[in-house]
Amino acid sequence: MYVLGWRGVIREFFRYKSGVVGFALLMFLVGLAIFAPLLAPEPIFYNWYVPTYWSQQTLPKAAPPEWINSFSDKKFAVRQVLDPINSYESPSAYNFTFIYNYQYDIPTYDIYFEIDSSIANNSKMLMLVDLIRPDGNKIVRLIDLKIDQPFVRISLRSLEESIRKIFGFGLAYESEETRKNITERGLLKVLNPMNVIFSSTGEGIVFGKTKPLKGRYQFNVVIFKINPSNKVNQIKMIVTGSVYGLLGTDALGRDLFGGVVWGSRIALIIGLGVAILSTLIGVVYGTISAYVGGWVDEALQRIQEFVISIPVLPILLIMAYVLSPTVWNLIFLLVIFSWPGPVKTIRSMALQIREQLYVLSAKAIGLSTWRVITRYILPQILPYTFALVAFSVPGAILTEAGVSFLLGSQGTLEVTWGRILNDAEKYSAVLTGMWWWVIPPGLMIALAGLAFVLVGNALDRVLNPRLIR
Amino acid sequence: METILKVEGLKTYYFTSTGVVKAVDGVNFTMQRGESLGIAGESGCGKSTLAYSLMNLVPPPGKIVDGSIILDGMDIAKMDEDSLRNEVRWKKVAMVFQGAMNALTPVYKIGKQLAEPLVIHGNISEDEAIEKAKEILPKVGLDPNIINRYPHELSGGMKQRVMIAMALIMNPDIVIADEPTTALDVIVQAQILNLLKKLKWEMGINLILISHDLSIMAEVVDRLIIMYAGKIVEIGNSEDVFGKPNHPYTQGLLNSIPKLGTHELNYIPGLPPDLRNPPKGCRFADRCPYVMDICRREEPPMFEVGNGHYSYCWLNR
Repeated sequence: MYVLGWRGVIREFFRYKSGVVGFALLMFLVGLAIFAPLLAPEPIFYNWYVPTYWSQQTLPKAAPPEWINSFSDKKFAVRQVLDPINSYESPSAYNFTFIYNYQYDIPTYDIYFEIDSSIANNSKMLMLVDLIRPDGNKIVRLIDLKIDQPFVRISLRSLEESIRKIFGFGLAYESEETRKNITERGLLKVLNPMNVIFSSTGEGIVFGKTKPLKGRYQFNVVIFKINPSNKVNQIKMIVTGSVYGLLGTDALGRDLFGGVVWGSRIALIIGLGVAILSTLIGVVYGTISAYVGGWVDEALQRIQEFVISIPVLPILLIMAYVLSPTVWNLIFLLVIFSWPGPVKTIRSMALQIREQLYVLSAKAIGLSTWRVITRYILPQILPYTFALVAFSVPGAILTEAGVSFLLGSQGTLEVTWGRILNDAEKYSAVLTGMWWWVIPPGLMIALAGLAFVLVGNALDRVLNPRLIR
Repeated sequence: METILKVEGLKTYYFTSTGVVKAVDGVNFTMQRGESLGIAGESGCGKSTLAYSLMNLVPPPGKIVDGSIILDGMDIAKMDEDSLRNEVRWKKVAMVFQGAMNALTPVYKIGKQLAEPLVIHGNISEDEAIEKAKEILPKVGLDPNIINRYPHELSGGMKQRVMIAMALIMNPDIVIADEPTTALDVIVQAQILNLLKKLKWEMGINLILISHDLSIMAEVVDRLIIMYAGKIVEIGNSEDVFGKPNHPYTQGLLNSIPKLGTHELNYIPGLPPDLRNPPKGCRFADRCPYVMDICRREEPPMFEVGNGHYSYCWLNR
């Protein structure tokens, strides 16, 4: 390194394809981590395991990415936020009309109404919603609800009464036998009420087997004031759609793109933190062992061999469980088990350097052992440690992912790729075909590992003179 | 004359896994102020070990096991590591190492390395120390600006001069030069020798020169010690040792210097004894052309064979 100089090292580094590709991947990851707040809202990071946060986001659940519409001949409904096209206020009530133009094959996951109102104390309003379908069929009193809070967000799917009404409408078109079958087996819970609303009438409507019914859906909303001073300030209808964002959502309606983006931070912090700390400890340990020699060397080597022979994952799992797997605890635990990695290599290098004349010369000058180690031996080993750091990052990232995957979340923790995969496993994402829940975080773990291995390879070739070809 | 260094009964052994190597085995000599001392002998006779012992810096598994090295009223052989570091090394005894090419660490500039002794012993900042280092470089015939260069940018001769400058920088009582010219070409060898001679006169340094090369000894030293198999065999003023060599080993050594005009190379037949298990009696007995019974039985004592000229050989009985 001292011969090449820093610029020379950089120039040599980029002469290797693996260096260029690795660097590009690394920059991509670092960019994701740095610009995460611009790419996805920060609360995602802290609230990944907070169900109340996600219930406020009105995202569809288990929705594939939006761009799937470009590849599939069945079109998924997209997210729309609708304002009333018509509103009328009488002394006793408000009338709002919403028009939803449905031109898709797969209906929306849910429909929300958001009402912002001023309500007198201990008072309430009454909300009624009638639906007129494009084929002229009506579902009267689709929603029949009291409003007693200034701000409410009503999810159609969460209203049991509404769902009963919807299926009531659908079951009228089914045969007697099917009707009996469904009600006896309690199948209504697993059927999608949206299929009934957005399918043409006929046998099979409750299973969504009839043709999708395209056209204008009219939602007539009447809100009775009851108390004359009650006021509706704003009302919105949110059609969640059945696709979402760049990477879709998981079964709990969490934005996976946000999770993957914010997960890169943890991955890099853990990967680099563990790699740098453990390499540092390993290098100093190996150097001291080699330089001091004698029984100190023997003892240090036996300790290192003991630690390195511990089966890490099971112990890590137990300890992480006991300590609660926060990022800092994971880094701490991983460092405890990964510092022995570089020790043997470093020791063998230090053994050679120790015999160099300039080390003896430094001792003759009267330098203390510590100064000889830090000024005469470590600088020689330093270039090699850059490659060592790069090489030990993937291991740390993978182990973190492994521990997170196996352990999942203990309470409310930051989102990591491993934890996303743990949830995917819990909700059998693979079995239900939710590839967008599994592939992106998995791919990111692989890419992060690959980036550092490529960078490490190139660094190793540049900085380790024995490998220069 | 004032004695500045007195070595008595010095024994330095290497404790290897295959046995104890008695590299220096009972060496006695003194050194007077202002005189330069040469230690000569073939490879493996313990010259370098003796030199390292004088700083108590024998590389492991070596250790001084017995004897005393009195310098300035201190016994270097019995001092602990801390006081050696703070009081002896480089302050009292400095060393020019064998193979100067490797005695400088490749990662620092010359200035920083030259300044190192000043920084750790002199209690001054690195910048001041580098300034001081700059002043000493012309004395060894180097441009002060090389402080900004790295070792790999210098030639072998220049590096050797840097090492000599480094040895002089603390103004030590004794400078040990261990094979200072080995691995240099003859022209540079001559320059370095002349530099050492010049420094000896100008700065009055007490030089201990260690070499297997008798011809360079003749140039520089006042007194000469000839070592064989861990022991001194002959000691005297250099003109006496060269002019009237007494010990058969010294004679053989001088005889094996190649001479112009003859085609044959003289050498001493046989090999030095195994220092793990040296023979009883005179260690040179097996190779000596004049060997007698007593040589194999008893170790020869010191015989005075001239004015300040001593030899350890039974022939003088």
